[in-house]
Amino acid sequence: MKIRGPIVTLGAVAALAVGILLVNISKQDDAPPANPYAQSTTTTAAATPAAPPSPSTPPPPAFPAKADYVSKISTANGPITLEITIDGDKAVAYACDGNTIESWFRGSAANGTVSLANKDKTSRLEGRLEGNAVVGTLWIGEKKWDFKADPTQPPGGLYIYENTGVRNSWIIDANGGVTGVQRRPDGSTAPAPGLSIDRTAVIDGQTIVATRVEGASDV
Amino acid sequence: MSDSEAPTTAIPRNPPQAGGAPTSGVAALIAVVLGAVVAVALGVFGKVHEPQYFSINLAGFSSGLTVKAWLATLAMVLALFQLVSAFAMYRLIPGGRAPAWIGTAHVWSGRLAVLVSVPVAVHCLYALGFQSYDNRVLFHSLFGCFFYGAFVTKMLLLTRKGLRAWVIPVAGGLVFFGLVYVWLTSALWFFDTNGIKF
Repeated sequence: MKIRGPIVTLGAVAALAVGILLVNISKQDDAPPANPYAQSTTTTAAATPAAPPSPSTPPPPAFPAKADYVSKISTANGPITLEITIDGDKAVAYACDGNTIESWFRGSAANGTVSLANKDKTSRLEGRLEGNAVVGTLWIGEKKWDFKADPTQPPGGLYIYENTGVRNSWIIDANGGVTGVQRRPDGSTAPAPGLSIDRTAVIDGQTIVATRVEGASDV
Repeated sequence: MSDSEAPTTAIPRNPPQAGGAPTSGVAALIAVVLGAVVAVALGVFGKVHEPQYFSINLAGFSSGLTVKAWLATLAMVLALFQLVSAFAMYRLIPGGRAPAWIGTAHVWSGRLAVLVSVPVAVHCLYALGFQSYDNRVLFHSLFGCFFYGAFVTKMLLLTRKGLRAWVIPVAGGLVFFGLVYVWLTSALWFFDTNGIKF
């Protein structure tokens, strides 16, 4: 009786696993680092904003007192949805892929430009008003993307629900599409449960009402 | 690797001698220990490795999670065939002798099942890691590591002659058991919470 068969099977399984792992590791450099909070490298060294406000614009454009902008950014690993909410001179932005990647930004809004960064400054966002849209650049970790975010009206906007350390964040775009990520106390992330247009979601069997995030919100 | 020499086809035809050789017990123990080492090593890697929240995807699916759920389901279907074909090989199914091809089919459906599970497992371990933030996730992590450990043990046992008759069926049963629970705690949960989608 030959006994090679199971050994060949084991070898094939091990080879496939190692192969996929190596492809993953090699592709990792091309991927948006999903956990910018964990990165200690200062990627903001090249701090020249890619989209500085055009000095030739005669009257400085101004944001409405309250405004929301949503953009879908195509990346190599699927779309990232970005939402910027303005409240007076403050702005909050949130970017996520609806799966495991998310990042929160806070900063200022003045003279038609927004300048935001995440908590540890590894990710940031610069944008300026062009017409009624915000055009700019989003940096997450070492990756960056240009974006154009169109204004959206409620229910379009940014929503959050936090309970026992579990934070669910959602973006509703102008078409009513919802993208959200759930972040657990241990820092792991997952797709957020569905959010209805009426701001309700069912989390662990309980119906909750999500809070709308304003630019001045403390998130 | 020609089909005919695959060992599981021969198992029912080689009933071990009563008592078996003393070395067969040692060989079985080694196989179990190596399987345990693999299971623990996977768990340790999953726990120590920094989750990347990222892994390569397959074209044609809406998200990486749906790919995983469907690959796992394919593995599950093949595993059900494993169970049926194993019963046939051990003549536990009414109707007399199993068809001659059943052993070959058992071997190859098993290979396919474990191979389609590999991309799923690599994604789990590389992108997510060993997690324990709720019971489903904890048990999924445990059963996932257990499944591959049991699989290694089963493969190593297949290379041994003279094992007691119950050893291979028990090992195979544990592999099946592991996969069933891995699937219940992942793909079934996914389809249950997200609906069946591609």
